Amino acid sequence: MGNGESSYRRFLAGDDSGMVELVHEFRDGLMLYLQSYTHNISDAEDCVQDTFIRLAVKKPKFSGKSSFKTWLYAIGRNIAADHRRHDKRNRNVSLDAQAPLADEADLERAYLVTEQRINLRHTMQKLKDEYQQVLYLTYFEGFSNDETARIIGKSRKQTENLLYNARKALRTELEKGGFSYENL
Amino acid sequence: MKTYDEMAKYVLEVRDEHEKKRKRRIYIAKRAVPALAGVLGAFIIGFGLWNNYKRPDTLPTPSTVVECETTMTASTAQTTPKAVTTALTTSAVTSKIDANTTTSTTAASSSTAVYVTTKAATTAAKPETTATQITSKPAAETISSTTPRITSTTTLTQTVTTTTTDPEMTGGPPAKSTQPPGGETPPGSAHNPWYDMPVHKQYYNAFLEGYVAVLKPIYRSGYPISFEYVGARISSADMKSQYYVDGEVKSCKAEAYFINGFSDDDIVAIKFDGHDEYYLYHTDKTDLYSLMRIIPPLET
Repeated sequence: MGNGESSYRRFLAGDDSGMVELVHEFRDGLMLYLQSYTHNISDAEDCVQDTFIRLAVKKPKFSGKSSFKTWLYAIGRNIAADHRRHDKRNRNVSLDAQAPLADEADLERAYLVTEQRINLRHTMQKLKDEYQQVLYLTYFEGFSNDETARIIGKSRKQTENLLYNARKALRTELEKGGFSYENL
Repeated sequence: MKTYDEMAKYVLEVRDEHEKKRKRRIYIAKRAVPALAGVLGAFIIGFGLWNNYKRPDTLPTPSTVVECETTMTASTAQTTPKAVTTALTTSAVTSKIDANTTTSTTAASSSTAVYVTTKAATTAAKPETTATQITSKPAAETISSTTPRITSTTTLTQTVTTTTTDPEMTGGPPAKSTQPPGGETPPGSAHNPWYDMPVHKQYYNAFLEGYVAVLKPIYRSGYPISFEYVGARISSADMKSQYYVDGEVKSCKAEAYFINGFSDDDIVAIKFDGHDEYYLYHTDKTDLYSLMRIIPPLET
């Protein structure tokens, strides 16, 4: 399946199965990442869907300056930011927002697999949004500092500082809960 | 939460819908653009024509008037008395030296006189090239020549003044002349003969309200008529002089009226502001002398 670039190129060439592959490959990870923006799995799902719709309709050119996944997550982040801005103006609590807990649990189990990673993510959700985002991209998605900086729209230095502070805050939170995580 | 396939299917549906809309927009644009271009073209042409007909009537300015004045003079030998006299004197001296007979002297003086006269005439004619005819007779005979503006010593002078105006240059009504008939007013003259004319001759041209060049006629001055012939009021009229008077076209206001039994396409009655008389004004297509038999001029 590759890193998604070949699927996207096939889709641009007219092969709709390329888009199906992209959805299969990137939907879950992107949704968990965008949840830190939307604070709601249902809105995160909408943002993910909008991200794929933007790829399908606008067909933006992928230049290859970064990996396809970095590029896709950056698009997703922009859409989530727009969504959050729009959501601030229309502050309504939908019924859908009340019942996606089961969906989120299923998604975590499917994507994060291990109990330890699920617990770690739950602890991360107590941190500031920026810390959640940078930790998720670095430790769950495996992006380098440069790639993380590109996705969240900050400089490398800012990202490194953010990551340092995020790690420190997470350690404190884990210690409060009686956990220890060797990789941090 | 949607499954992978549901989400992929939804994304592709949105894409298809968008493509359909885009194709529809292109189709509509392709159909609409030629039609809109036609309408726009027609509008531009219409506007251009309308604008062209709506050009204000402008009388020719002095810079657009081409004036050609020809003065024909039949002059006698006295036109160049000094030159001829000098020539004769010279020739007489020459003849005394070179010839002894009276006949040859006369011949010599004749030819010399002719030569001198020719030179004088040519010199005088330099500014405007004119044909010069000189007889080979002695100075005592009549010499026919054409010189410009020699009026002080002429015995017979005929002045012909013509003005040609290119109507396409101005788009306005043609003016007959820059000067009123009856002679040229010398520069610096205090009195212009225009002021001595009757009012309807002073303001020779009448432009009815809403005048549009080509579409509406210009009315020319006719003669005073009795108020019995005058009908309903048509509109106000701008009256303008035929000539430049003191460097400008004189104008004034008047009222235009129908003349009973006639169309305003042919004739109208004009009443000047501040005057009680009515004057008949006619278009160029109307014969003034035929009109005079039907509507007699008012004896003033």
